[in-house]
Amino acid sequence: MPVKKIVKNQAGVEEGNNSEYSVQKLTSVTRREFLQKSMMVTSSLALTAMLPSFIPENWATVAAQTGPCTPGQTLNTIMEIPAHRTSPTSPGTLQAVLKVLNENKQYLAASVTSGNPPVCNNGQMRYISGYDKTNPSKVWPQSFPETKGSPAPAPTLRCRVGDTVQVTLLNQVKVSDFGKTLDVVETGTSTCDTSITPKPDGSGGVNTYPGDPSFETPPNCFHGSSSTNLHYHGTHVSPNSIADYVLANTRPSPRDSSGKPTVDEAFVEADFAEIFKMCADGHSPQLWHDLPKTWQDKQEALLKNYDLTAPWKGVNGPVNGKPALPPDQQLWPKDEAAINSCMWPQYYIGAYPSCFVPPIWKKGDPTSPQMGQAPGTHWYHSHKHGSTALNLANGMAGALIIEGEYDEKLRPFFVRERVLVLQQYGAQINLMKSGINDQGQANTNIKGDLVFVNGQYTPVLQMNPNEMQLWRIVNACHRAQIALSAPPNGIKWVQTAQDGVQFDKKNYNPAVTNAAISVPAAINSSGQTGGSLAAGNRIDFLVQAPSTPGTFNITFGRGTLLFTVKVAQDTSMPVIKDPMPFPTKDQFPIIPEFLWDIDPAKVTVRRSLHFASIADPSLATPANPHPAANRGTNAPSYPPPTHIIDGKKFNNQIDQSMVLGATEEWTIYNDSTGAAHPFHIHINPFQVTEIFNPAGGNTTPAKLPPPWIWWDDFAIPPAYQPPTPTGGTAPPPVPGYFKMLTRFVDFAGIYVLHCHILGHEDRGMMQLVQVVSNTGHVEHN
Amino acid sequence: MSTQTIEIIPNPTPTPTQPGMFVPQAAKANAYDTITWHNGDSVGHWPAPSASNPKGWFPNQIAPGDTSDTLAPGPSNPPGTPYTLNYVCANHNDEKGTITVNPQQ
Repeated sequence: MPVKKIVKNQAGVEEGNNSEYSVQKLTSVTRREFLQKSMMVTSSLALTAMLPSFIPENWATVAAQTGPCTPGQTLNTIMEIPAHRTSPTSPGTLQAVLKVLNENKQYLAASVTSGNPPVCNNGQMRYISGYDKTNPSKVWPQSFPETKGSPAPAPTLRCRVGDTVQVTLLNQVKVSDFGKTLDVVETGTSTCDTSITPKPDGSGGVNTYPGDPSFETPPNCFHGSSSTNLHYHGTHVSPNSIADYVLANTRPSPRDSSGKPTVDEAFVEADFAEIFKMCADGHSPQLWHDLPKTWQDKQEALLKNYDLTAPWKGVNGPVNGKPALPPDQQLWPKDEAAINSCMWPQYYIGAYPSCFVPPIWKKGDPTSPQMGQAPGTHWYHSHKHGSTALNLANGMAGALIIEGEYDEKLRPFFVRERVLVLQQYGAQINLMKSGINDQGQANTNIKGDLVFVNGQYTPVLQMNPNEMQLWRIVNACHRAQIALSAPPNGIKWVQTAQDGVQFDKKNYNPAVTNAAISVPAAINSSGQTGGSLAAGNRIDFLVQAPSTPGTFNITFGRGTLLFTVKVAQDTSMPVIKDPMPFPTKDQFPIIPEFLWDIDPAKVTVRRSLHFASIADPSLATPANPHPAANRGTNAPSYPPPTHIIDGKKFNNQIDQSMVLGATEEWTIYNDSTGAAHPFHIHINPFQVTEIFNPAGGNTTPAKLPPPWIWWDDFAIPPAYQPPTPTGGTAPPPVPGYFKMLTRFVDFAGIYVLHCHILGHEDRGMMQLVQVVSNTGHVEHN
Repeated sequence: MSTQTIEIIPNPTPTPTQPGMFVPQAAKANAYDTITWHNGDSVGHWPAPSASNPKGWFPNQIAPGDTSDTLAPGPSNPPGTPYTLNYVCANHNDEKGTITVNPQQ
């Protein structure tokens, strides 16, 4: 029996634990296909000839070995919802039905007692259930007993560039299972989620969140966690209406007298079919009146009924024939005002359609978008401001694999693909937990949520000796940075893509097979950045197993176990005699032209943004004028730090406005020590060209050599606090920063940039971006 | 650090001072768990550390169908000692409940 290690907490304190595991079985990758692949790779024959025979990651796991809260289980494969096409080359359609549901789930959490192993916690948690509309009999996660009772990622969506993605989102959260989560905080008149720490002597309690007086101002506080929407992270699609629109706010469906949600598949079927057809035909609804009239009427009726009955207040009907909600808290009037102003309304009840086509870039075609969709590892997650962190802590995120030439060219070099979704689970946000410890000070005993892989804690991933696998790693944690340690001796890996965008072959380096992954990104020996796995980042690795069986720990941070690789021959699969080789630089996929470097000469606008976490100013002293932005030992007398961009919290105003088609250079500063805030902007990826990491020992900025890596999420190096001279005062921190080039092409509209530590985003570290068209009248008389 | 809900349900043998009841009446929690009360009764209820201190925990009573704010017990003082939070409905003096808090996990 192998001896594994499980960690006590994310600080990396370990203690022994024995556990057994079994081996995955191949079902859909046949022995013949496998043998073909192995032979072709090792003989360097025409590699693409066999592509149609490969079916990625569609093998089943063995039956569940144990229940929730058991570490070291065989890695789950997340169910995939694929696009379907009539021929191998025709555009496909992905039709997913995703339901937000909830149930009591069990999960491991770090003990508050030093030295104790993780404990099994439980609580009501939301999750995304889903199925392929063309195969509704198989539902994730309900059809998979190995996930029963545990949190899990959302199903994986898999399509190709140019396919149509149609998602029917149904919000069927049972509101009565969650306290005060249907608020009207957006009016600014209601409250944030509130937590009271009782005094053990029975004399009362202390408001530890949002404090009394409150240290948070709506909408920048935890609130409204039963409402939802979806963000398709990494997609280059419209930010408007039914595409990647994260300003939508979909309340849960009402329920009938038997408790069944009334907004279900049948309720939306005809209307969404019409909407999806419009999308597939290239003219998605842009205005409310573009939607089917029946859907307009249904939503209007649902919203008016919501205002009448105020389900979040527990009111069962109109009060004296009038709406239970005061006018400023009613939703339909707000939608109506938006509609009358030709704006896309914010509020919906029960359902929302998403539809988009990851665009194909066509060289020389005047109808082509300027930027295509980069094929690669992307993801999707709930993005309702005020509840993004809690919703992701509940598990509401999944992988979105968009395939293209990158995948096709790499496929011959690996046997199996693993989609690895990393998540931190918790039924509650830390700031909502007790604010007082034994001494009446801050709750420093509370540890960060543990990191899980595909819903499991420290699972076991099987590889055959000499096998090459493609690992698509998605950091869907609401907070944790995953600084991967170098692979253990025997395991070799080479990074092939960052944030869903393949490397230029000049940055692909098969000679280095043991790189660690730091956060923020480090500068490697060639002067380029390595990859990084801050919250929101993705990394693709080709991973080669050693020739001899063994067990290998994949760790991060200070040696914290993430998962174990068990190298052992699966007897249902052929033996691979020699190590499958990494592709050479020449064999590596050529980066498409639309992902060539942005020309700095085309930059027309330069701007700077400053991210900062600010401690309560009252903590400052003459000797320490820049107190750490850490709640430290002063809570609840002092509030937690405030997270701001350019000196303020999100305020529903446009902070960055640019012209469609513009090329810009941004410098993103981190004015604070401590957290490396992951900067994320929707819709358009960017290239990092310069990094200054003073806390990491940089004395001068590092200008990166081209070709530059593409990112959509980059951890800003934190500031460095120089030492305080003897008898003097502390000098101001030296900010860290990175420079990036980006293009605001193809899509006008309003979207967001924010910190991908999602509690920071929820509490205000977000801005609105507006891309405006520069087309207009050329003559006016 | 689990979450749990205490239900407030109609008392099958109601009295003026006890029209409802807490279920479970004797709850158990670990330090850093979070607890809410859901009012499934047709009248308002108000969990409080004592009848004379109705706003000790929550500023308002819980309306029918509504849920309370979150109560988040911490560890004991002195450390390591379990403790019991006794509470009562500020509206109905005979509706009582307890939460025994285990300070360690």
